[in-house]
Amino acid sequence: MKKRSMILAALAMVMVLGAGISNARAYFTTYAEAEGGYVVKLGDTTRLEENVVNLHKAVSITSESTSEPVWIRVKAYYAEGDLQINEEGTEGYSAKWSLGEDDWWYYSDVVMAGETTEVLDVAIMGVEVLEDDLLNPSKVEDFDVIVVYESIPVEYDENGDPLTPDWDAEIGDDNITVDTGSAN
Amino acid sequence: MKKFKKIVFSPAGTIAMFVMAAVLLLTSSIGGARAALTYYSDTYTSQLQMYDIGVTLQENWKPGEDGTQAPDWHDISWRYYDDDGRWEENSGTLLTQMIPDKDGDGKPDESLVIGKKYDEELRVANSGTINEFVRVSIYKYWMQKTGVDEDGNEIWEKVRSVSQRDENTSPDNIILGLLCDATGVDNGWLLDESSTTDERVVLYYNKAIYAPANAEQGSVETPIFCNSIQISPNIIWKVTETRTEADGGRVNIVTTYDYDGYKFVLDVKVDAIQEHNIETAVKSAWGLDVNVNTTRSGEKVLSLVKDASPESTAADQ
Repeated sequence: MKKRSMILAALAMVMVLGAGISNARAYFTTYAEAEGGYVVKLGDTTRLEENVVNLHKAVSITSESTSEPVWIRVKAYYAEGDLQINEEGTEGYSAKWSLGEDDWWYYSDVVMAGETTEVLDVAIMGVEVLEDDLLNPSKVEDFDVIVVYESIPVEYDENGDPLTPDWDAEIGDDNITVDTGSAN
Repeated sequence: MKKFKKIVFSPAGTIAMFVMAAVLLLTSSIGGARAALTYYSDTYTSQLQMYDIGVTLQENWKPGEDGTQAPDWHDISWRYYDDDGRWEENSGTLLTQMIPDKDGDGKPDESLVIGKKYDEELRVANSGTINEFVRVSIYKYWMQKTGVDEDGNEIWEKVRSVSQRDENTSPDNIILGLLCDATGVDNGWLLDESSTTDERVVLYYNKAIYAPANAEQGSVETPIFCNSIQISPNIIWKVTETRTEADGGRVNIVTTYDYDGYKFVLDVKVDAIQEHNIETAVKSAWGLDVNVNTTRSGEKVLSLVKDASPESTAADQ
């Protein structure tokens, strides 16, 4: 008897609460959701290539096929003598290499993945020719020319055009690092 | 008195009282409903239409880059009732057209250019049969590939910070061209500053968007709330450098880009709510206090009550 009364009382309470729930559910809502994204690929691998022929060093830098676009600059050192680099009017001259005030040679174009720069001709002067005859063509004394190159990733503006590279920025400024390679 | 008690506490008495209580409850509800129906007849009409609330997120797939060609709006995600009264819903993918695929091979024609500002125009359309207000929650974050599942699908996990140099601000490197302000003066989109973080932006459109059936009363779409996306060029300077000694005294310097291989994600969620009783509805459904003013033309204009946003909005849910 008591049990039945309690059940009925519970039912009544559920009905009262149920009436309140219907009010709470009276606001109608809906939603829609979408997402999307891209994987960022960064990184560059560049390689210095040198070919020495008749006291001329042909220097070029290749960016590998998986690399991001880079800017390139090159500097050459020769302690024992002089160098004539990218001499205008000579056969090896390239208008894409230009000398900066800091003695670096700057390549004017962005080097894209898989591309190689035009050759930077480095003529080595003041090397003593030891023998130069049919048996020993252009045998010269040992020389040590050091070539250093740097690459930095290309930064683009809002329109997708490359910005002028900032070679002076430093990694300590949370800004830049350089890839450096050399050959001698 | 004893007889009365006997009747009251008898099983028949208990059942009779329960039935009376039920009848009283039901009749009192009917009375209230009839009163509301009579007094708020407009309300009654609106409520009949509430079953057809619907919303669609649209993205503009511009056919060209010269900016002179007509917009090409595409439905990306939606949820509304179809003609049979069932939910019709779809959750699509954003940014599929960010990098053009003019040759149609299914692959972007070029690599993502870091720093370039890409078009990404988004808006909301009413795809139901009643007018509604909308809220947009925009999430931007980075994900890292953590492996591959049994079926060969890549597993990606959200990361808070990609680079140690970011100081926990990696989402800032995903730059969105949002068209909104704190007042909604510009184009009607209100920025809810109290709910916005570096990873999440919450916007409210301050006017109702009309159902297509009511298009003569007002616009069935919102203005654009986002027009571009750009990955900050700063990320190319987030690097880790390793130096190793090589033959001949040379030093090899290997630079690893911290963001290499990470995926940026744009996630947009649109919430829609009935126009009718909007203040109460927003408070009830979204937990937000809003003011609604009615203009001379009868248009409702919503504004946020300052500092009233809940710390955790529905966007967190």
